[in-house]
Amino acid sequence: MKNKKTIRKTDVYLMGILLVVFAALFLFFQLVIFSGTAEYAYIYYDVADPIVTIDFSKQKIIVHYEQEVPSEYLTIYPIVNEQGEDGFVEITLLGDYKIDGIRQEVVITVDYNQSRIKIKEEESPQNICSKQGWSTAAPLICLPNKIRVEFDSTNSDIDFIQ
Amino acid sequence: MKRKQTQKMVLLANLLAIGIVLNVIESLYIHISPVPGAKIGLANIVTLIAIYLYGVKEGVILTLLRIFLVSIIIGTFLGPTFYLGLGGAALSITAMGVLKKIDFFGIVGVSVMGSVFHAIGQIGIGIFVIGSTTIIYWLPVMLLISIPAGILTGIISTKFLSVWQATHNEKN
Repeated sequence: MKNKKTIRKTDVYLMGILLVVFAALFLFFQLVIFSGTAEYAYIYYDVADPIVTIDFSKQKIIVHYEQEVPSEYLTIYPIVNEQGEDGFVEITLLGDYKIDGIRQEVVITVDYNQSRIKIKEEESPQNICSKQGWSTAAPLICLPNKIRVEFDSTNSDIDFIQ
Repeated sequence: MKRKQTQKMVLLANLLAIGIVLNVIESLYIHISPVPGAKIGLANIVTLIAIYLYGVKEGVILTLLRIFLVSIIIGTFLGPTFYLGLGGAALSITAMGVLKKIDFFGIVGVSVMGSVFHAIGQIGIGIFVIGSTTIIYWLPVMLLISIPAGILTGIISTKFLSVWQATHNEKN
């Protein structure tokens, strides 16, 4: 049979074109859309409005409202600990991931000085968001816990991502 | 004829088992650093082999079974990551099926496009599951990673297919 070669000529063209297009898209994202430094970061639970706003320049945490949790969880979330480990601020929310029917807490660490945030502790099958470590721009998304941290690092001239 | 059917059943069962193992190992241990949770998609080797050896239908069945079984094994069944994987796989296999029918690209090209569409499908579903467009942040990086990932799975699949066809004298 003809055309049974490992890589056809069309494959090479395809890969070349894709590489150029994706590289351009990558540079556009890094240099244009996400080029600013984050002044604010927001913590969300599920699809609702942000529960917590972190103001890096004023070094302030603004809690907008209490997280809605079932009555059997006696704690009021979010818990803000201004004197956390290593002097960082720690914010605790109730995640969605259950172990033995009990929802688990998610601990978020805020470093004002370097405008960065990490997910310190969280329970989930793959621990994807806590393995991500510190972030200054990339969103921290804990899917199984329905908790995410978004940075306001988008260039304000572009309303691409609100 | 009966022998052929038995052979097909045994091979598909083996491919499914291999796919599950590859998928579980990758999900738990092999992560490509810049994108959280991203993987090469080695299990796509199995899907590609099934598509090229038997057809798109077999590929779809194999992929769906793999996603269901893996999610039950690692405990993500019906969770948000399960839908992400499903969305990526649905778009990926559709793209690969169509491109195989058109026969314009070779296996490696089809594999790369499958990988690219897997990334797009995941981001698309992710926007709905997460309820935010910020996940788009990862799209360019994921697309860039999907090119070498697709090449790798494509080459491994081609190697398997050439060995299989040489030893079984099968027409494709």
